[in-house]
Amino acid sequence: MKEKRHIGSGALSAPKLSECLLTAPSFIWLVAFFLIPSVLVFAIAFKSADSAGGISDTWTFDTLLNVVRADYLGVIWRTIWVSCLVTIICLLLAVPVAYWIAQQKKEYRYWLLLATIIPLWTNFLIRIFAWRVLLHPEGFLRRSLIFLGIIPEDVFLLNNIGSVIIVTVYTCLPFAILPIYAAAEKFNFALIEAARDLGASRFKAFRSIFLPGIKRGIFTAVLLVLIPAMGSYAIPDLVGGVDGELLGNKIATRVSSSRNLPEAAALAAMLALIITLPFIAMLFKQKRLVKYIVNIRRSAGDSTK
Amino acid sequence: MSDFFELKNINKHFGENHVANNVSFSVRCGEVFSLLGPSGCGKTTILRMAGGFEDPDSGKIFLEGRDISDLVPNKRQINTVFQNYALFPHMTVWDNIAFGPRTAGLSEDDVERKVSKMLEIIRLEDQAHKRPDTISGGQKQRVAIARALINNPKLLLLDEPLAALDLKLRQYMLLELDRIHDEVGTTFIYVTHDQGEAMSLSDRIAVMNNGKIEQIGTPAEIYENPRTKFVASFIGDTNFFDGKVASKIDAEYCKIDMTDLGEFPAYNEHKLSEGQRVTVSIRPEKFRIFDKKPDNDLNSFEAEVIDIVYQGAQTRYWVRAKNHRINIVTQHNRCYLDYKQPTWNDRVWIAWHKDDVTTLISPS
Repeated sequence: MKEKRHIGSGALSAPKLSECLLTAPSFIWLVAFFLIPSVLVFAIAFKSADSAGGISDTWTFDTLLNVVRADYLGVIWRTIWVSCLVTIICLLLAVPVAYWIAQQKKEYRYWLLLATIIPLWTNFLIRIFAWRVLLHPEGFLRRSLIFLGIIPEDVFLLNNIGSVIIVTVYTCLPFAILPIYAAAEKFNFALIEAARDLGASRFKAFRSIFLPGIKRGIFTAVLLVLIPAMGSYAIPDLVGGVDGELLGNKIATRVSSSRNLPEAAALAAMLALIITLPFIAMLFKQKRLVKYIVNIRRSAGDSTK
Repeated sequence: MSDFFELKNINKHFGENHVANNVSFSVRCGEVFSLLGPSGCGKTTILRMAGGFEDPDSGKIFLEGRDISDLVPNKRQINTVFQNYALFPHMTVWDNIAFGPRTAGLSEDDVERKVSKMLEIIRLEDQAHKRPDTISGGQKQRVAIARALINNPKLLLLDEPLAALDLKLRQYMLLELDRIHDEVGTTFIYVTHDQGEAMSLSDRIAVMNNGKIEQIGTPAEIYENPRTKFVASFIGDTNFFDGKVASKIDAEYCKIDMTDLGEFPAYNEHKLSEGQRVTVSIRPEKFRIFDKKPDNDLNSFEAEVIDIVYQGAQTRYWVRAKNHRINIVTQHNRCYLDYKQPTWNDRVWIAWHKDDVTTLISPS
């Protein structure tokens, strides 16, 4: 970044040839494998399906209207709240875990990190099937919980939205722990002592010093959990049952069994928008927020003179 | 009168390491008390126990007669200036200083008033809106001090506060610290490995080694009258001579047999009796160099100049006498260019006064 600014400072208007050449490979890659496919998906959303399962030649808004009108709204809403809930649970679990790991001795830290990564060595689908066994009505977990009197007989753990949340949290947790740990490891824990020294309680020091200190890690964790959770399809398919269906399943059904590619494209485009817009807004707002705070501080500093 | 701040029989182990070995000392209200010692001697651990960040294995800590040994850091009326400042990077200088009063729940008006006053004391009013990573080391140091002082602590702990600064800045900050101490009157406990810092700032110094306090005293007491070999060698330069008490002269003086060099009278501070082994410590500036044998009221022996280092304000000589290499410093209070200075390989007479000798009892 700095380098670029340095080179560019001589000729502000026209970037140098070397700069263009350096950027070219990643630019071409993004255009070919990201931009064009995305535009195609968005474009197909304005077509309708033909009887053979292909895409018709005419342009139409019907597909989009159909998507907004139908019972999709319920699924979209469910997708949003389930993903948000999963993200929140993951953060609530990952922040204390990362905090704890970062405070361990160096030689233990690697083992603890290894322990969070090891599950990823097993195939994703196998792990979800393992959860089917665990959560099964006659499975070990439900039987023991009933035996201990923690849940009544009529509670089922599998094939509902609860099981989708549990399993999604399970699969996403390492991706929340790792970036938060990376931030926590660089965090200077003397700052917590300083805050405690200045009269802050443990909780206050954690909230007003540690959390802002690992802000970037939390932001990355949100991205790494929320986006896959939004598009998740295998988990609801395998453990979700009828009530646990998410947007990803609808898209899959439209592509495979009902062969309606335009409608699948419309749903996919909508999902992409749902994910992208808040993040763009967040980035935009964060920049403005920082400027805003700096300005307030400046004026406060001036007024004290 | 009970002491202001007191540590009683503090012990602390880290694994096998006995980092605080029965440490006791008391600090008077308003003084600057230094813990001085080489790195790893346990001084920082003592400070961390005073601040509440480590628990002693045994022993008690009192502040104004109240036992605070079991209080958590945020309940003690003690604040710390941390070694690497530990300023909050996501806050401005202003917010860093305001952290204490804000946490205490003061109104924004009061916070504003207190922070402005602190900024005035540290003379950083114009840096208030900056972030810690955009100000210099000396400024960070002052912010850390202001942040710790704003809560009006009864006791301020400073952990090697100048260690990260370069020499010039260190000298300047030392004066600043002294000024701030005069201005706020808070009691300071100052941890350092730098004897110069400790000497110039402290009212009293505790010299530590291997988890033990070797000696507590004013800078002059520590320098002029060290109690142990460690203190004598750690504070300033000195020359050691092994010897034993040859005979007593009277109630105050005795004759010490300094191996190979002969018997010389010395002040018998420890009331030693005949035959006891001692280590004699004589500071380099206590020696004087003569070209012939001086009067009899001075102790003297003959030696050969083997090295000379001219240092402007002073000259440092190394002379050899028998098996001893002796370090001598002479001040140039008057410099006569025509006066014949001793040069290499000169035979000279080394003299000192019998009162300028420190006798240290060798551990038997």
